[in-house]
Amino acid sequence: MSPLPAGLLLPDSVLVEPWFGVFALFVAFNTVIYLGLTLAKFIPWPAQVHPRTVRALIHSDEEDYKMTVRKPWTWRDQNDPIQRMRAATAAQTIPLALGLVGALTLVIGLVNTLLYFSAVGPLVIVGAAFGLVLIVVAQVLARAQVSDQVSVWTWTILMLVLVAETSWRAAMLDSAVVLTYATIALMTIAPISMTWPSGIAGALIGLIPIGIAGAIVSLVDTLSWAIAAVTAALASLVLLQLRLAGITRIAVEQARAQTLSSTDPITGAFSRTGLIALASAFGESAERAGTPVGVVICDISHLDHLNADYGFEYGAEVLGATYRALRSTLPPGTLIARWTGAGFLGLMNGPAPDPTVVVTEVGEALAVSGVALGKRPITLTAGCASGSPGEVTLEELVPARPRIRPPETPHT
Amino acid sequence: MPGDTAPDPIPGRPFVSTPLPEPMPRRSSGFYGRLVVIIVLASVALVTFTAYTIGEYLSFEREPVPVQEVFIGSWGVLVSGERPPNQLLLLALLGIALIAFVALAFETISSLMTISPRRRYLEALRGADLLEAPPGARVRVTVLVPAHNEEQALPVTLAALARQSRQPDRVIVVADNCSDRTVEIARDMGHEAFETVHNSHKKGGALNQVLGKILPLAGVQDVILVMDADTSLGPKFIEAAAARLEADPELAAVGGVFYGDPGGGVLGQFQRNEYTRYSLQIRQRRGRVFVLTGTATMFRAEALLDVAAARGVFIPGTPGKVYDTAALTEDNELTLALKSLGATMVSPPECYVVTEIMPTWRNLWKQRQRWQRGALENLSAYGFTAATMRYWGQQVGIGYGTVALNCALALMLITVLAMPTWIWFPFWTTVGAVFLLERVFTVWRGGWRARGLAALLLPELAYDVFLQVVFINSLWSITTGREAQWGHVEHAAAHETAAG
Repeated sequence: MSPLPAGLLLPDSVLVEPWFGVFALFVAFNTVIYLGLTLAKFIPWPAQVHPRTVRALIHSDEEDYKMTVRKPWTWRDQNDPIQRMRAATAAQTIPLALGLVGALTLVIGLVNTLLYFSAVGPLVIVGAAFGLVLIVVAQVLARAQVSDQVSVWTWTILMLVLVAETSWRAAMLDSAVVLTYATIALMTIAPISMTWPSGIAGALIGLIPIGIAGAIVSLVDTLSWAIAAVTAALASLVLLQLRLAGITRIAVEQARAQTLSSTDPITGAFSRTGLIALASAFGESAERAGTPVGVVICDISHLDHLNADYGFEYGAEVLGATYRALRSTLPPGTLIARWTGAGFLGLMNGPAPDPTVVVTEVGEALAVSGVALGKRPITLTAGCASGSPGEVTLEELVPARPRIRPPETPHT
Repeated sequence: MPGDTAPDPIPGRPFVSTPLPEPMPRRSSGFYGRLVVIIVLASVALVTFTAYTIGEYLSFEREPVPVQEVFIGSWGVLVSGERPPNQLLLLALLGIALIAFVALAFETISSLMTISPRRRYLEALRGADLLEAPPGARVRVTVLVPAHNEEQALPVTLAALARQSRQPDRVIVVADNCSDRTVEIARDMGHEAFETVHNSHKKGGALNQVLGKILPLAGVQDVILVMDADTSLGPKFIEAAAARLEADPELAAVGGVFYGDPGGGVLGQFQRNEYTRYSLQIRQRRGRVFVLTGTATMFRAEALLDVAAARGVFIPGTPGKVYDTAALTEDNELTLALKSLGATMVSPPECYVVTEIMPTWRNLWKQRQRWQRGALENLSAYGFTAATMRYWGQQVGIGYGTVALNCALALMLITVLAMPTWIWFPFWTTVGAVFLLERVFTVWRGGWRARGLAALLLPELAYDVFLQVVFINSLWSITTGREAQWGHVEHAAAHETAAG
């Protein structure tokens, strides 16, 4: 039987044209990639890593993130989120980036050594050795507590050395391939360096050795320059996305600084702003359910005296203990805020309890906490008010406090 | 039942009159949307260019392979021993290694996200250290069923809910702008009905209203199952999902794995095959979730509280609202929100749901257009962060897949049209056979119809091309700034038999 006839719409000379060959190889490449991905579908994944395991593996300073910290508050941190972002990026990104660049340099260096050692001689080992140095420095930076300035400068200088060394090698070997490596190195390190002025200066200086080497090297081969062009595109893309990520991070940091003001740093309770932000929804919810809301005000009397006698640290401890005592006494779901310097406000669903009960129970919880052991007894005063959200506002409920204020009751 | 008696809020007097600072607005989709399109297209172009450069580089070394005539019995066929050069295989192998590395990097990053400081911050904000449920404590399941004129589908859905191996503790039907008997049906069947008030934000807005009411009163043991009115849950969904949440106090959400309703002819089968493959992929990924499906997902109430607290601060949206009503696909958006806050989530195979399929190509086009465009817009709202990196990669993957598949189809077409006689390529035939087997095996549990359709190969390729056209069209419509629309399928009574 004769072979099956196929389509005759196109001349069969199409099949031997050069573009068709390239196109066929392109499709072949994609197809093999997809074949790999298809086979990968049958490889089972390991189970998800539980956060517990991640925490066990990675040491993190939990205290830094707890909002109930009693650390001294530094204004520099609070006011300059961009400064903090830079410091954090330096601490986190630079060792990682150095390690990655080092690993890449080491791999390229080793491949070059294997391929060209006999032809070129010991000069090819320089690249691999430099890669090793970068990895070691990355390890040192990751482990040692260095300032962000030091890591930024280390990064900039090492990357300049890398570019200079590669350009020098390109000139020595008279190879456009090595020159391409130098260009790639400069392009990929630029986005990371862009965060700091020293990095920008370094990137500009880095162009000089590449320029000189480019003038010396006579060989130019198409593929290397194609790769260089691709890398340049990649680098600019990374640059763009990094800038985007940077902007997001700055925005997040700023927003976070704003939210910090909705939490009281000493006790971890809501601040006045924090409570007001939530009160609206709280009131709406109570209004829908047709239930009243209750407001409890609980003041620590003479907190200024306690501060004067035992120090501000003790004052902060008393505030924290009172907040915890309130949390344990008031019904769950109550929003508690540090309303004034020495006073808390609780906003709850349903009518507020009797102020005497609040003072007694909170006082008991305080006594159990043992915060005042060996010190002067803490005196509390409380006032309560209730109302229906449709009829009164939060602002009206709060000043209503003095009218139903009970006689002061001392508690230890 | 509070849902029955809730009065309308009295307009006029707000509870709080103190003004608050302006929240962080969601980025307008115009500029950032276009930026997303540019980034996706540039990445696809870059990958394509790299692959093309490799092809060009290797074409210099390519030698023509002679064609031989082979006889099978008396049947003579022309066979070409042509196969890709070794360098191409090596480079492709490198490419696969690179993809594997990227996948591993995404996995590591998402693991690191679970110990995000944001999470601790939000826990401190809601006083989690004071009210922690011990592991294994029984959770209280509240089911929310948002419904917009669902009198046809609702009885079936609620009846199916009653057949669950573990009964929910509370069922609330969220009737959103209903003009039919949705509310009566819910109450007749003994459940609560919550009617939304002045909601102009579709499902997300309706859910925000009801969540705003139940979340402030929720405790540590509360979990919330949000499910569509046209969805029927697998019989053990609640039992399995609740058991997961009880066993792991850090787990934030359990998402459903969805399958398609029967019926719908070939178009229905296409969608069912797609869903079957997707569920297989989730199972093979050990429950790692791409999207917590809006059809049925069980959330820990605390996780939703954290999302509400973090909106406008860490993540885009209005402060205090769980769902971002500016998003076209609210389930994809909520997944991104939870992931941005370091939440862990899982989609176990027992938690399957059967959901409606699009009956016509037009409906399917609208649905996919909304999904695709919603996903891209959400990416533009969130930017390039540790939590969204994987999703960016996914978009680039779809783009590259579009280029690769269509080029392959074009190549085959040109070859068939230009070859004077039919020539067999054993290498490529084997590769094709592997793809064919993969297509058939991945829909094996879908039954003989599914396998038959997959075995034909070409129809499913055409369906893939359709989805890719949707992808390109959504990129185009974002670039031109065309308004996106919601699609809603009006249910015929026939749906009852289909879902039941």
